[in-house]
Amino acid sequence: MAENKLVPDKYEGLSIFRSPLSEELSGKSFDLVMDDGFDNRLVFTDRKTLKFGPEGEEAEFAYDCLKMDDLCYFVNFEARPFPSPRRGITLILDLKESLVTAAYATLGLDPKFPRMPSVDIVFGAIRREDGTLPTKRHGYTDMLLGKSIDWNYGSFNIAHVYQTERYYRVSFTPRALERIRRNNPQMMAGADGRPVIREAYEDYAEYVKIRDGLVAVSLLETNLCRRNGHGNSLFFLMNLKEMHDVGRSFGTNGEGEDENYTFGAFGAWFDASEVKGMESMYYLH
Amino acid sequence: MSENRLWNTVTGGKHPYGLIPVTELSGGSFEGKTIVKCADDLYLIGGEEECVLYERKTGRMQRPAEMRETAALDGFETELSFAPDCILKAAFSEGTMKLGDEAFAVKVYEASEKFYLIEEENGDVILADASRFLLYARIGGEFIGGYLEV
Repeated sequence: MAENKLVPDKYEGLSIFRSPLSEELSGKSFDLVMDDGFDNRLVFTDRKTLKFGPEGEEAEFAYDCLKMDDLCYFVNFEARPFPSPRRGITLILDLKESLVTAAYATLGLDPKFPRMPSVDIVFGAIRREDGTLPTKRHGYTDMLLGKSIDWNYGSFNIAHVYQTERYYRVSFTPRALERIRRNNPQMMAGADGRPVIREAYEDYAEYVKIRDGLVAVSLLETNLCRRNGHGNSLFFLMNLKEMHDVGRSFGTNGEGEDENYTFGAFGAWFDASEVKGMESMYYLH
Repeated sequence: MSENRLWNTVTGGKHPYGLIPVTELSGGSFEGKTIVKCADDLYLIGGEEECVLYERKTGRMQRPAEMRETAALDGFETELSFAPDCILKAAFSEGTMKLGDEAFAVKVYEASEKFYLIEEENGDVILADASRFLLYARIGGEFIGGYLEV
């Protein structure tokens, strides 16, 4: 039998399939006029560093930038070393329409669960070169409702089921279950011995249309945090034409250490009727 | 694309995973070309007919035939995918890449550290990132993305 000679390198969390970082914004600067009233100046100093904050008070951050469509970028950054409480900032910059969507994530503010993440989505506009601002915004969408996509992150597959306007569920394809048995057998049983992945896990979701074929999705793991002591804020930008997504995981890893990293995945539509039809274990519907 | 056997095999008739072209390279030799970023300093550049690999840190622009042939993939068996719900068994042996039931005559080149360029006999190319197990291909003049089973 032939020997399998190639072994991938190790990458943080689920980040092995993350595509190369974009440098297209290096040297550019933007005025972000946000609907929460807190405007920000964003300056991409070089390929690795940006400045962000109210004009005259910008702080410097290392950043990841991923290009997801023509003139559309996913930018993620947070102060390092991690402060307490933490504040992660993710921006979707749509330079075609001069629009921005921000996901401000926090950790360390919940008095009962110190590793409970939260996230606020804020819409805004990017001031054009002529000083004008668009009046439209990215907006919440129901275009994914009732659908499910099986995402392959390289070392792990999971199907996100876009259950309702406020909630998502997770499911697993037969191939994904086989990969879990092979690569992550500990996931097959919860702390109490229950088969975790056979539950209709359900939690908070938000869906934002960026442009045709591009959707931002925010998923929280609050119930996971109540059960295991930690959960993450996951924020994705999905290109449904190319069935590819990028995103970031903000929170803590399985060892309880702080994490905030970007990732990528390949998707395939999946019929999750079985999970969609289950009664919710967590919420009244 | 119906005439291209490699395209038909890797897509299985489905819309393949796409790649988003980049504009971060500028200058004369890049004008009018479709450029795909494959690593921090590595780009596939598609002209009208041929595809070349550009390594920014050295400024080197290489056609496949200018690279060093390697047997590094001989004996490598895996699964790969370039399109949703189209996962193919892949096996490499001397001069041959077998995808599912189809066999293709190929040359394999060492493109950069942990990057292998697989050139099919009609000039289509697949760049395999052996670090992240990502695939970047230009098949039938189209850039498409994919992955190797981790």
